[in-house]
Parts: sequence; C-alpha cells; structure tokens
Amino acid sequence: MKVLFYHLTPFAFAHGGLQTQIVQTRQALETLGVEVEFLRWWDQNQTGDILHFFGRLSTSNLQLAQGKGMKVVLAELLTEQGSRSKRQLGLQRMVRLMVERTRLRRLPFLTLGSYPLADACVALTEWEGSLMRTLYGAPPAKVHVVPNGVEAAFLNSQPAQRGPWLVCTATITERKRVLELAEAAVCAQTPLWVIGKPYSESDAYARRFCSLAQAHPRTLRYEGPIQDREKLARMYREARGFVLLSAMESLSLSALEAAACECPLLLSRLPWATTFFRESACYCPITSPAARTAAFLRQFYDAAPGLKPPAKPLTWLEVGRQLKRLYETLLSAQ
Amino acid sequence: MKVLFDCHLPFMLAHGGMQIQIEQTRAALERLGVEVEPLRWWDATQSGDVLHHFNRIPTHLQRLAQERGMKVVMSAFMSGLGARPAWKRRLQKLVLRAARPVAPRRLRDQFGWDSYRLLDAIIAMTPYEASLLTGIHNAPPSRVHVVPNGVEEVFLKSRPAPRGKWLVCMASIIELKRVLELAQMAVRAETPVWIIGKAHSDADDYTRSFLEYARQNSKLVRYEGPISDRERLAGIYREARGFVLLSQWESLSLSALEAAACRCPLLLSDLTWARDAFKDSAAYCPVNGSLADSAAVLRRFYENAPNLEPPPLPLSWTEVAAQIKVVYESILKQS
Repeated sequence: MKVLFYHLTPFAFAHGGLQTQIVQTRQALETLGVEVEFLRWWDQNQTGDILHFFGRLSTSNLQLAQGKGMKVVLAELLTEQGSRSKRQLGLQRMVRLMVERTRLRRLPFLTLGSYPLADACVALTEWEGSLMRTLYGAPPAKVHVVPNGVEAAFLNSQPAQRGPWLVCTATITERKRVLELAEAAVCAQTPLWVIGKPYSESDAYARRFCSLAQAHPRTLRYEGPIQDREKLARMYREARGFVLLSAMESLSLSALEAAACECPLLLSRLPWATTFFRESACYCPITSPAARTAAFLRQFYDAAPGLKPPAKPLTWLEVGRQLKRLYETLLSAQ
Repeated sequence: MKVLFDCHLPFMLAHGGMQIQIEQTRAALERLGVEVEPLRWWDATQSGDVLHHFNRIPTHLQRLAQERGMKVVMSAFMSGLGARPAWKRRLQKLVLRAARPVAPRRLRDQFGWDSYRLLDAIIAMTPYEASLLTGIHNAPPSRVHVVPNGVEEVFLKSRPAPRGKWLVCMASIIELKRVLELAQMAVRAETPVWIIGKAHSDADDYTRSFLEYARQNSKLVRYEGPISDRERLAGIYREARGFVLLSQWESLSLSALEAAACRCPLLLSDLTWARDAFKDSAAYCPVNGSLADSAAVLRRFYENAPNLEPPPLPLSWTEVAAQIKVVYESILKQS
C-alpha cells in the first residue's frame, strides 16, 4: 500500500500544528509498514494507491485522481467553520444548498462536489465530522473521526513540582488571541509564560504583544519558541495550568500535549474543546471583555492545583493504526 | 536569484501543455543562470527570492509568501474566461466592479479577487489575456507582462519534407479539446485526420466514445495514442497536410505553436486567443457551428492547405525565458 500525502500551504510559509500532524502521521504510518510519500507535483511518474489530502481538494483534481484508480481521503481542518455560531452555520448551510441548485456550483474554487465524491473524509473531532456532513454534504458513512496524537516525549514525561506560571503555547497571531490573553493576565496578576513565534516578525499584532510583554516582565514571560520537545514536556509538567483562548481551533495539538503532561486546561468555550475535553477542562467565553476574561483566568489560577488532570490523548502510533485500518478498508472495497 | 515554481495541478494527475510550459521554462531559465526549484510543500527550510505560481494562486498563499519577503509572479491562464461571449464578459466585469469594493475580505479571498491587485507581476500569454486581466480582474497594467509560450529547438530546426494526405490534431483526449467532434467532422467531410494524444483517464465516457468512433472509422480517423518522441512529432508535423485544433478554449496552444514551427498550415477554433496569436496566418472554424458547416470548413481547409502561407515562426523557450528573467529582475529591484 502506497499513500501520497498532499497539502497546498508550504511549511516554509506557515508553521503550526498541521505541519506537526502531517510529519508525525507519516512517521507513525511508516513505523506500521505503510509506504508514505509527499506528493511531488512536478513528478509525472509518481504513483500511489491512496491520495490523502490535508485540506479540501478541488473537485477536478479529486476526479482526476479517482480516474487514475486512486482512493481519495480528505482531511480538512474546519477551524473557522467550527467556531461559528449556530445561526451562522445555519445560514452557511442554506447558502450552500441554494448555490448547489444554480450554475454557480460549477465555480471550481467553491469545490462543492469534493466532499460527496471523496472516498473518505477524516475529521479530528465529532464536531468537525458533523460539520462535514451538514455543511458540505459528506455521506455519513464516509466520515471517520481520527483525532490528533501526541509524541512519546509528552506521554512518557515524569511528574514534577508545579510552579507559579500558567503556560500558553501558540503562534503569535491574532487568531490565537495571545495579546488578549496577556492583557487579561496583567489585569488578573496571574503569571503567564507565552511560548511561540509569529508568522512574521514585522507583523503589527506580534509587535504589540512583544511591547506588552516587555512592559510587564514580572507577569508576562516571553522568550520565543521552544523546539526541544523534552524541555516543552517538562514545562507543561511544571506549569500551574495551560491556557489557550484562541478564537478558533480544530483540535489544538498544544492542548493535547499539555493534557498528556496532566496539566490542567483553560480553553476557549468553543465546540471543538467542549466536545473533546468535556468536563476535564475549564472554559472561558471568547467574547468576554478583558476584565471578565481576567476574572476567569484568576479563578482558574486559584483552582488549578485542585483540578483533576484531563484524560490522556492517543499516541501518534495509535492514530497511524486507525488511519491504516481506514486505508485498508478503502482498498479492499475495490 | 532563486525562483520557486509552484502549480496546484500535479503532473501525475494530468499531462498537457502546462506541464511542458513549466518544464521547458525551468530548463531555459537554468540555461540562463537562474536557479529554479519546484516548491516542496513539506520542506520548511526551502527559501527563494521569487515564487512563480502557474495558474490561479490562492490569496492566502500569496500573502504568506510576500510576508516572507518573496516577490510573487503568477502565470495566468484565462482560457475559460477568454472563450466566453462578449456579453458574458461585460456582465462579469460589471458584477465584479460592483461587488469588489463592498465584499468582506473572507469573500474576496475565497474568490481570489485581491490576488490580481496584489501580485508583483502577472504573466499573460497573449495581449488578449492581458486585456482580460486588466479589464475584468482589475490587475494594474504596469504589472501585467505579455510573454508567449515557446517552442523546442527540435521543432524550430526540423527539416522540410513532402507533405502527405493526413491532417494532424495533437491534443489530450478530453471534451474540452473536442477531438470526437473533429473526428465526426472529418468523416463527414471525408478528410483523413490523425489524432495524437492520450486521455486523462481511459475510463471516462468521452474517451470511450472517441475510441469507439475512431475504431469504426479507421480509414479516415487514425488514432494510435500519444507520441512522446519529439523528433518524430516534428517529422509528423512536417509531413502533415495541415494541423487542426478545434478546442472549446485555449490560452495559447503549445501544439499549434509546435506545428507553426514546422511550417504546417493551421486550422483553429475561431477564438480570440488564436486570432491574437496567429492573425491572418491561420484558417479559422467557428466553435458553435453545426456539424455540416464545420465539416465544410474542414473540407475547404483540406483543399486549400497545400497553397496556404505557413504561419510565422514562434519564439524558442530560451527567448521566452530571457523575457521572464527580465520580469524577475525588474520586480526584485523594487523594494
């Protein structure tokens, strides 16, 4: 069995959780004996049995791949859609149904035909799976929920004495709301260590965050990203709690890594988080004014030492096993 | 100067003119001393000065590249838009003009409306395509450069040979190229036609219909699949009575240019791309005519072909690359 992984946003342009997901999934599948190659767009001689596309493949490319006898797996992160209100989602669904009845459905960039035509759609959470079905018309039998995994460095980390710092690991970008979180931490006087880097040093949002961190060195700690996974695991082990108040997520890898280190979690009150972590995390509404967010943060800070740790996430190897089973099912259905 | 080439239609899924264009442009640029690499999406350490994207670039990708200090060039393919009737293009222009200023960014990104305005350079293959880019997509005229496709030396240096009885059509066996319709016209007009090319998939209905029709009319319709030997192909163009391509739309057909390089008379769809590129040096057939009318045009071309003036010689890929290199150099000079 040979699987081709394909994605359109180059890692050289944007780092983040999806890059980790793709690299770790590939390694796990190879450990399980599955041949995985990254698709080389310029190589007409490359072949594969399965095209696993991370994103939404255009309907024309999907049909071309199937025409070559390949099975197509779609794994799109519905990050933005998953964070919309019920009303917005209802409206979006209505618009899609209307567009499907007109000639606009043929517009290639709307890719409306991709979900119904794919051989399998992989969602990270039940919530994402329901969006694939209701928003994009994916046949329920083709939707499979396979969450993200976590590296052994986190799962095998040893317990340690927890200190005064809350930790937030995230890219310094507006979507992650690290500036808003830092402002709330200053307001609540809860020490916060932000770990991550911006997409671009010149970005105005990142500069504002850095200025705030410099102005409040006692409450805010920012020293850039940490590449060493063992060191990061130790930090989660020593942190008082993990906080991520991003405006949207699919299934945060850093939250899973913190959970693997039994670190209490404070997350945005969004469906991806509440449906995945349920009662084992604390939640903060993202629409709150700074003072209200600060109150949630203070409350979490005080309660964190007494909170139950969240459930342990899967290893990447377990994730790889679920995907391998899915690939085998698709190929045996020929 | 290091240039990263990118394209979102993998060659393993579909062969065709764009693949040849990308491969030949890359080889020619390298001959001129420009370092070119295909963009490896999984390589976080890959870097470059220019991102050259073939076909429509998603706006978010363009922004990410520019935020990293790269200049972004797009080779635009306006084939579908260019083949629309004038009233549809005017309507599209009006709708875009009204919607662009009021549409939220998310919608503009989805439709890629901002790309044309924000790109550092856009390469059009014909003046007609350039006019569509500036007129309909609002691309700044100073950033639009017309650089046609080139032709390999093997065609440009091919030797004259006595012309035979076959008209030749070199195209992928897909609906867009209308090869089945051409075969039907040829049978009706009793003009022998040799169709060279391969299908994207042998399983698709159109391909099967074409193959069946060619099999039933093998005296007039010759089909033996694709020919990858370029010397042999040049020889076929040299020996052909004429070259025919009646596709629904094109940007600037490479096979028509290759046939032109072999001094082969051309019959093309009566579309603006063709008139723009070949003017009076080709014959034209309306795309929407009846089978009988189109067959009559084909017959007339068949009879006149031996006396038609050959079309002008196209550029070589090296000449094309030299023009593209100038575009890269000019945008890298801008801070």
